[in-house]
Order: sequence, then structure tokens, then C-alpha cells
Amino acid sequence: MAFSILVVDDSKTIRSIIVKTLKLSRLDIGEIYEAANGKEALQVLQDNWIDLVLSDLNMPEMNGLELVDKMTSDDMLKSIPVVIISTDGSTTRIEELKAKGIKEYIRKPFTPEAVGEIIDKVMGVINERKE
Amino acid sequence: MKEKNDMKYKDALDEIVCQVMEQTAFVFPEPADLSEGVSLDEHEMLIATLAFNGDRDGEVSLIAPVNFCMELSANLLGKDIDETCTPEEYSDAAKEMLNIITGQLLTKVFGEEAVFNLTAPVTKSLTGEEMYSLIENNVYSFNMADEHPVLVTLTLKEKAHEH
Repeated sequence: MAFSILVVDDSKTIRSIIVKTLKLSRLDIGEIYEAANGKEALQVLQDNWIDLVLSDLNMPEMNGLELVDKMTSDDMLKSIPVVIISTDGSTTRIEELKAKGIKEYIRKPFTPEAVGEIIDKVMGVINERKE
Repeated sequence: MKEKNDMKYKDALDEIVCQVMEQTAFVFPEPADLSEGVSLDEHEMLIATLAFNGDRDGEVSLIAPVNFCMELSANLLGKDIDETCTPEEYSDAAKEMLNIITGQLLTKVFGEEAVFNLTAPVTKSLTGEEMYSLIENNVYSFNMADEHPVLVTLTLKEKAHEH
């Protein structure tokens, strides 16, 4: 089954890197959507079927934490897994995010392998890779 | 104690700057000495700055020639270096590099349990004179990367109880 993924980051550079990383990971990926902040992400989530959200934390307009809060309080969105990709390395912050319901945390800088493994884990897919 | 802390911060900065640039953008900075006749005035320089607050408050800045930021952008985006790079793209590359350096630095210096909030990085052009005044009273890491001077500064606000 191909996954539709939403990448949320205010940096166009980082969104490009993540999209490229996803394509290199050989995961079975369908559509990849992009948003520059939490507010844009909510709009994409309302308009499209999304299986997984990969989001930064620090963003203007609406940050990653606020996005997670909005998603968990919405019956339609609360079951969509969220993986945070951020530069923040604080274990206290990561615990706070996990308590709010995020599935995993990837710290920048990251490797394509690390992203692929974590998405596999989150989506419950171990051996369904392409090729 | 302040001098000892400054050395600790500088060592961490030197290590993190090299590590992040190597891992993220495949450029290999080498520590250099600013007093050894490196001219910064001949370059069109860009400064990216962000502030942090939390267990400690302060600012981190990345200062580098525009040409180097274009190289960073090309490497990050997997483009050929001769391909056109827009000001938005090279500013974004400098901002993101600064973001990653700051995240790694804060954990290394203040520990994994410390919590910080970072502001969004901003960029602007910088004159040589402004740059020298920036490094005068701050901890900094100076490196040469592909023949480009690259400077990262750390400014910490004084804490009332620091000895």
C-alpha cells in the first residue's frame, strides 16, 4: 500500500531534503504534500487523505506542537501518526511531545536510512519495501 | 570561571560546526586563526542569527560569504554548483545550517534535559567592520571551508548566579 505523506517545515530547503530522503528510502510512497507551517498543514489535512505527517517544531504562524494539539483534538485527524523532525535534542521536550501523542522523533541532521527505519516502524511495515 | 566556560563553549562550537557541516552539506571546515592574516573584507558576507531562551538565554550567528552559502545550498539540494541559486535559497540554507548547529550546540553545552525555545533565524548582509565588532566580546569558532572563511559566534546573556 502506498502512503501519502505530508511534510511540514518552514524551510523549503529542508522540505526538499526530506522529500528526496523519502524517495531514496524505497518506501512505497504515493503522494507527498508540503506545508510551510501548522496552519497550512491543517488545510492540506482537510483537503487530502494523509497517512503520515512529518513535521518540524519551530515554525511561524503555527508551530509543530500547536499542530499536534489541533490534530489530537479533531476526531478526523487524531488517528494520523505524527513524526517530529527537529534540531531540538532536549529529552524533556521529546518526552513532552510523546505525552502529547507524537509517534516518533527524528533529530536533524538525519540520514535517509534513519528516516526510512522510523517510518517503517511507525507505519507497521517491515517487509513491504519496493524491490 | 568565565574564561574556563568560554573555552568549554568554544571547544563545543568548533566540534559542532565541523560535524554538522560535514554531515549535512558535505563541506569540511578546518579551524583557522583569524589573526593570521585572513581577509574578510573582500567577501560579500551574509549573517544568519537566531536567539534562544530557556535554561540560558543568548544568540548564535553564522557568518559566511554569499558564495559559500550558495555552495551550501547546492550541496543541501543536490544541485550542481553552477546551477543558479536564488537569494531565497542560499539564505534558507544558511538559516537551516544555523538551526542545526544551534540545536546540537545547546544540548552539548547545557545537557540533554535543558529546554530551549529558538526564534526563527533571520539573515542580512554584513560589513567587515560589523563582523569584527561581533567577535570582539563573544565566543566564536573560525574555520576555513573550501577556501571560504566561516564564522559562528555564541553570545550568552549573563546569569545572575554565574561565578
